Amino acid sequence: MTLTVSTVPASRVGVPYGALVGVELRRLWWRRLTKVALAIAVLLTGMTLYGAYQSTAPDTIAERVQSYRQTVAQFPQMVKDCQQAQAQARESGDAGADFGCAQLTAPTPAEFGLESPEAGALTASLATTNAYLYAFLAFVLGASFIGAEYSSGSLGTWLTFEPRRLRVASAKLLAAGAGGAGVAAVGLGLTAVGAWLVSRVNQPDPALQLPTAAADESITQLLIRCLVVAVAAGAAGVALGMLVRNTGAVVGIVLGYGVVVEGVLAQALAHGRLAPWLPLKNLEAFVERGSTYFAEACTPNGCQMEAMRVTYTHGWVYLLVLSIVGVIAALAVFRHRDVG
Amino acid sequence: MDVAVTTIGLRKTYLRRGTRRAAVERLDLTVPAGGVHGFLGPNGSGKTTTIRMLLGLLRPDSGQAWIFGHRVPVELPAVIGRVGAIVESPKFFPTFTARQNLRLLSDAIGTPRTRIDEVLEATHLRERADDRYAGYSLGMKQRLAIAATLLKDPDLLIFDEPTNGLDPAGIREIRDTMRALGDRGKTVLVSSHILAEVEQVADTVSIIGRGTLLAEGRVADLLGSSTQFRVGVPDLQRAAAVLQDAGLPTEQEGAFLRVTTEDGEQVTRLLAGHGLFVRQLTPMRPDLESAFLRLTSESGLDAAPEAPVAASPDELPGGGA
Ligand SMILES: Nc1ncnc2c1ncn2[C@@H]1O[C@H](COP(=O)(O)OP(=O)(O)OP(=O)(O)O)[C@@H](O)[C@H]1O
Ligand SMILES: [Mg+2]
Repeated sequence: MTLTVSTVPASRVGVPYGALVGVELRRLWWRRLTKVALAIAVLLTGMTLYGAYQSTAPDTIAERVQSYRQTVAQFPQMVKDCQQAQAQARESGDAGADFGCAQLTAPTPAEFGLESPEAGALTASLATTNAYLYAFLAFVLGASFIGAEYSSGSLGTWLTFEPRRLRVASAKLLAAGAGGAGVAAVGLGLTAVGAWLVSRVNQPDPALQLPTAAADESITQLLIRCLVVAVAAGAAGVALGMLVRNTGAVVGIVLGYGVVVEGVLAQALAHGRLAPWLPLKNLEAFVERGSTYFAEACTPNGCQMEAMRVTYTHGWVYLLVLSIVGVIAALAVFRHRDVG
Repeated sequence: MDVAVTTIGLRKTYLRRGTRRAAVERLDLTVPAGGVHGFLGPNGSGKTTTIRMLLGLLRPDSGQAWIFGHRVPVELPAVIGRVGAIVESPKFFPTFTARQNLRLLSDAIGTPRTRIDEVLEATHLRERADDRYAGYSLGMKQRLAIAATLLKDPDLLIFDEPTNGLDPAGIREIRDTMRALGDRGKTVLVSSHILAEVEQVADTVSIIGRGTLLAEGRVADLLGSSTQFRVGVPDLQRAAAVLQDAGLPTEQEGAFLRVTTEDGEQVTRLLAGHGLFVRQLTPMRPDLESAFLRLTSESGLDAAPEAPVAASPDELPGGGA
């Protein structure tokens, strides 16, 4: 080697913090997995949009209109049949028989999915389900963002260029959070635009006079909550990656936890009363402004399963505390642990 | 003497199968500034562990270390810009190209982008700069690691076994690089267990075994002066008799005599006095290998199994990373 390199006035104090985050963002952008995650987000969003398109397509609506009309036509007969059966039961000895015929209500268009597709409502319902997918992609992205540094050993090289561990770690958390926001923004943007298109394309025949489903809350706020979840998921991926140091293990732990603990054990243990203290349940409560669970409720007369609610406030406070504790733990461990 | 690196009582233990074992045990190391300093020791003697502690990658159990007068790891940020290091083997992102890897590092320290081409050129990697790192040969990986250290224009370069796995041409290239850096006034700390390699390039050396310093100094001093000469004369029998009569232990060795003395002049004088004219007189220096083996066996360190150690009473409480 000739080593004819010039002498540079080497920066001896490192770069500003923002520049360090910028370097991490560039690395995130260069990663193949980032592009794969974006592609998956686009693809799956497209699939949910196609589903929405199909279920609001004129043909589908026409079928539903038909079965609605049939039911409406059959309704008086249904009531009659009911009353007849009740009368028969009373005659054959059971004087108090009540078949609830009076409670039978005429079918409504909404029960048959007969609503005029409205962009806002469609966006809300698609975003609510897609948000979990974006969050999971962001999480995997974050976990492998740091996991790749451990597996390749390049974290050691990195620390010989920037040894201030807290700076290094927090820049990675921020970059992964931003990456999560990016994936979610692309997905949610596509969802909103797609929902609008579907609602335009599938405008039903005005002659049908279908009712319009209105979104029952601010779409903007819902989208912001979905975005926040993706940011937190990206950072959570990095934080868990710092603790576990292996991408596969992190993703395995979280999937295993989701299935075994929240899926099976939560119902089996403590008569379902654990639900309000489980992360995924609270995530749902945050995204969907409250979440229902079933648990045993007891009165002096005995116990029975009842629907209960994890409130929105409970959800966001819980998640905020969990995130703060997680980030502090990850930073503390990253700061002190030997890099082998 | 200006000092680049100093350690005092540096100690690092690992928990292995339930017992604490010292990888580095009260190591006092001094690396003079400027020139090439060999850091020698057999496998597992704690060279890499020491280097990792100097770079803030590992936290010592106790002891102190300085680089250019800055306490490490506490003041490492102030001095890291002057230190370039390759620990154990080059480590980069395998799916990124050499240029991408260098770009990330150079942006992390704020060197101008033009520097990347310069260091790629200097390490003969420019043509392959846009290939993925995973596809590099070992020698190319090693050169990329050197390129990365040169991004900073460091005053101290730490190379941990830099010739591992390289072919003779590669070894020579690295050796020349280190020598050139040393001659330019940089400090090169090179660890190795291949003594011949260090002997040729190092100005000074430290020898460690089982984590402690066994010897240090200039290579020439450690080797000691020549105490034996190989002598070529026409009449071996007569010459041997003359030398032995003068009290110099002499043995025949093929077509030569091996004489044990520190004074080569005495040999030629004695023989010439008897009409025996010396054709060849070669001082036989002990090499670092034998000096090294002598040192390690003297301290009973080479073959002995590692003994568990007691926890140090003066462990550092915390000590920033
Ligand atoms: N992460 C670790 N956990 C447990 N023991 C370790 C760890 N790293 C190193 N050691 C032990 O510390 C001792 C010193 O190892 P080190 O890698 O510093 O030696 P070395 O001088 O660099 O050896 P080599 O010439 O083989 O590279 C060895 O006994 C090794 O087994
Ligand atoms: Mg080593």
